Amino acid sequence: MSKAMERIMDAVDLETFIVCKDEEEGKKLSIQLMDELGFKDVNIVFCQHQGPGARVRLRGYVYKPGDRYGWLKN
Amino acid sequence: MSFERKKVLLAPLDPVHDIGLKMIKRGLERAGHDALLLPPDYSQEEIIKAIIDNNVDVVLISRTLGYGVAEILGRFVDLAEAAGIRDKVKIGIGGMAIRPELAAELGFDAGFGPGTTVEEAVAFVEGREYVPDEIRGKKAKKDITRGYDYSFKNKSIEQLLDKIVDGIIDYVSDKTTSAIQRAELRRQILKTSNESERQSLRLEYAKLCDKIVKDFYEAGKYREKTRPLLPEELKALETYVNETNSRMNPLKLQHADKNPLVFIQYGTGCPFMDIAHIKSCEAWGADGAVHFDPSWGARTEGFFEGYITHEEDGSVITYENLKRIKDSLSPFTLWQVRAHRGLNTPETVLLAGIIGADLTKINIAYGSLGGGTDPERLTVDAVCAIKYAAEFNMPFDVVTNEELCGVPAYKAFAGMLIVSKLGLRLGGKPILQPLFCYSPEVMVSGQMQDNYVDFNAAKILCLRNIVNAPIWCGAPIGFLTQTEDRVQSSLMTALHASLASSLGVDGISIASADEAFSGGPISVAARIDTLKATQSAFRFFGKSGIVPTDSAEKWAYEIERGIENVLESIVQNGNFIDALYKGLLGSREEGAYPGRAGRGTVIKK
Amino acid sequence: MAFIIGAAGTAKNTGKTTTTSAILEELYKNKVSVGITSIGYDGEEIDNITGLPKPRLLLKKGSIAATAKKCLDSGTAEFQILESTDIITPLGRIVIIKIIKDGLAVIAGPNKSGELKSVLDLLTKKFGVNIVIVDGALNRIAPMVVTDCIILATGAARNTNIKELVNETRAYYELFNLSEAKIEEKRLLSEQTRICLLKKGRSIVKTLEYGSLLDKKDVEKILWHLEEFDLLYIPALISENMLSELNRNMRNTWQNRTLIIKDPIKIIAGGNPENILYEIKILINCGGRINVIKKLPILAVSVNPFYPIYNFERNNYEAGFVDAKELLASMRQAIPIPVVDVKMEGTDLLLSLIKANLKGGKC
Repeated sequence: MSKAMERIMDAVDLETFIVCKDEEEGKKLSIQLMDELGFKDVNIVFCQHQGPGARVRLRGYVYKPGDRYGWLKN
Repeated sequence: MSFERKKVLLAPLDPVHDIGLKMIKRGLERAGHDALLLPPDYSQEEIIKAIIDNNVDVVLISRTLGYGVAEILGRFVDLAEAAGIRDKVKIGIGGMAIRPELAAELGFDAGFGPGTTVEEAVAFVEGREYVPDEIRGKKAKKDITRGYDYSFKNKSIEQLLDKIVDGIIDYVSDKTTSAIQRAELRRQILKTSNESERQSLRLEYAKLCDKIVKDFYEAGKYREKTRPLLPEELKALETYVNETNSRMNPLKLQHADKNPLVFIQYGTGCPFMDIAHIKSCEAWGADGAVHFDPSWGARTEGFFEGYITHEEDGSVITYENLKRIKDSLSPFTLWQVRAHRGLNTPETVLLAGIIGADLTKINIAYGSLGGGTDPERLTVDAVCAIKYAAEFNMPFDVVTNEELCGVPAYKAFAGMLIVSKLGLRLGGKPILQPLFCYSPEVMVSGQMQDNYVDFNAAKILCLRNIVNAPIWCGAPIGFLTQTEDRVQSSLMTALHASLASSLGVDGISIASADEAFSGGPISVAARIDTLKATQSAFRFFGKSGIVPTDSAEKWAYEIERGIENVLESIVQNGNFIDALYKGLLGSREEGAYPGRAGRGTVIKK
Repeated sequence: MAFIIGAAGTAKNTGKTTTTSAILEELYKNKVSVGITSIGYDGEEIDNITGLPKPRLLLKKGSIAATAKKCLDSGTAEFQILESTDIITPLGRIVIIKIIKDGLAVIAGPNKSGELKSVLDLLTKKFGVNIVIVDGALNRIAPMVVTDCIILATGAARNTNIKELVNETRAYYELFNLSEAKIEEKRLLSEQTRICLLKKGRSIVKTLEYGSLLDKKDVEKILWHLEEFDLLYIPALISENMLSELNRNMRNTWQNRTLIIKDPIKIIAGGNPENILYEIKILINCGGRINVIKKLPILAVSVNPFYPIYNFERNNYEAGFVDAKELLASMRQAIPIPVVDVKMEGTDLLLSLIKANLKGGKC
């Protein structure tokens, strides 16, 4: 994990618009995108498809409660 | 008065504090002064030398306080005196935990604690009289109950409440529970300085606990999904909090005087993540924070001890966890520890009081109809808990969360008013906390088909017609109107906040933009979203208001009549606890189920 | 004649305020009228740093005190304001009050020597107080320069190792006890504010830029003129390192030369007392002489076995104690002036010392 990533308090949200035919495809592409970016713990917080594509909010957790937080190092 | 250009030397005695001094340097330069910032590795003698060489008028030192640091600062002032510059040069000290009293003791001319503004430092440099409290008052703790005399406008409701409260007090007078006994043992455990006495009290305490807690005291076993925090983790946290506090300059959410206080809720499971979230919310303007404990904690007899982290929602209540959180809060933050349900209600309030919480939360009706605790057990426990709240002068809110189960507002309000009246009788300061959201009741009966304004307004109008008491809208406002879309979610929170403000309430609890997302923990960014949205909404509406339709008044009247009818039926029934079992304050058909945790555990004295 | 006693400490929690309270109590028993002020903020219920309870001062009717305005509401003693001064502190303006009904009071007076001096003048000259006690703050000693003598409070809060603590206190004692310069030297130097080099102790041959000796450049300047002087006067601060630097260069030339400093505080503030004493001994062993313009004698040493222990688990401080008897005995053996533990024994001894000084008019 890169140094800057360790300074994320808990999660990275990625908001974008994916061109796709329906919500199902939008979700598939969302997971694929986060995977390609290297996020391990991925959630689709929000996905709504209308016409041309899906408005999405994707989340990659960097730290969850109880983890060893990188920003808490001495 | 003519402007006098001052020469100012800024000296960090501590590298962490560089940032604050840099900000002050910029402010001083903007104000037209000469500011010289020394690097952090200067010795005290070198700083004295720099003061003499540069012929400065004012010196600002920064240093975080800790044991032994006071002596270092005291020595610095002695050096300045011995060098003969003390009478010519003004010296100020800034940093974590610095207060005017301490500045006086250390021999400085002024002391600047966390939250000091650049303007405040400039005022000191320019020799305008130093008035610490008034300047610092920019963000001060507010007492939600101030100005309320709890007088009842609806006298017939007051009389009914008094009868019911008489019955409750009479009922519990010859009863106790293991929770009450544990609370008293806890008080002794915390009081004693004798380790062997403490150990024997612990074993006595363990006997009154469920097996899982007993195993902890007797065999040192932790519950699954919990673990103790390590000393190095605690040390790292302390550093984190100190550094954060040193650069804390909180935003203010309120724009108009009437804007309510804004509370956030936390309970990530991990006290560190909680603190990280609270500190972020403090910085973005939250006025208070509400502690959420895990749901299993409410169903387990007894508390653990020590610094414990938890992998799931809810942060474990122990003296140490709570104390650590409290010590991490900024002085202006109101802190509430919830005790409104569960088998450890008295001890929760006691711990909150000892540690210095500002507020707690107690409600028998919700706790036993929606919270899973046996009505009789919770009634006996709650009377004791309210007495603790009164002892520690902690106001407590009475939340009507049973509305979320489907109980209609008038029934939930009847329960809230009974507990509030009981609180007043026992010397407490209750705060009414009606739900301010899209409740199941209105989904079925349609009062929110046109708008979210009227029925929420009706609830507040109704309570105002009954009693002159503080109101804090819960919890969180706008619940069930938010979706996973963060803009929609933040907007809904902000609009509900504006409506609450328009109705003149004293406080609101807000959700994060993650409220409707259940796939994982709430992110800190989502908390900031709703704080920012609320701030913008307060700015937008200012002193103007939202005008409900005539339905609000009509529904307010209906709710009031409903409350009166419920109270009458309870008085006729003759016993409050029995009324809870029978469903007079919310029936099984409405989604309210008398809790079973702790059933049959009340002990005759 | 008025007599001013400072209660100075070597660290926080060494018992300054306890010592002050004990002396006050004895003075009250003996019906002596007293004045009180403080260079810190003593008298709060809870210690500012450790959160442990601290004693508060009980003042009796007739006492005169100088304290900051913000402290007036905190006590239980009833008072009458006699005068409002021009001195502003972090806790507000300093006022002079007269106690009209016994009670507890919070005393936070002027915290620098110049202002302390003017307050002491007010108390003694205008309001006719015979004995003034100046309560100390933390490890701060510098403002005590305007008192007649000090009671040095030390103890386990400074160092829990009794042997090391005794050695340090002994060093303090010797530094405070440095002998005064000759009268003609005092007359010649007392108004000087910069470092002076003198020949035959009579004429100033060179005045340097600064009053303090704080870095090597200043030492070098003195050394340039080494052949021209036999008396060196340093009126302000001398840091421990620069005293050592001076010694390193003058080891062979101290013979028949004199170093005069203004008062003991000017070197004590500069570093660790034992190291400073070590350097002074080198100076003397090399044939040099050291004097002060104004002595600040230690009347007595008070010791306190208490020290705060940080409890990491609970994130608070708890009380700890070293062996009180051993502390007292070792200190008494090492120091030739009265040593008391104000909590363990009475303060009669302190009082008789004060009375003797009051009668003799000297300290």
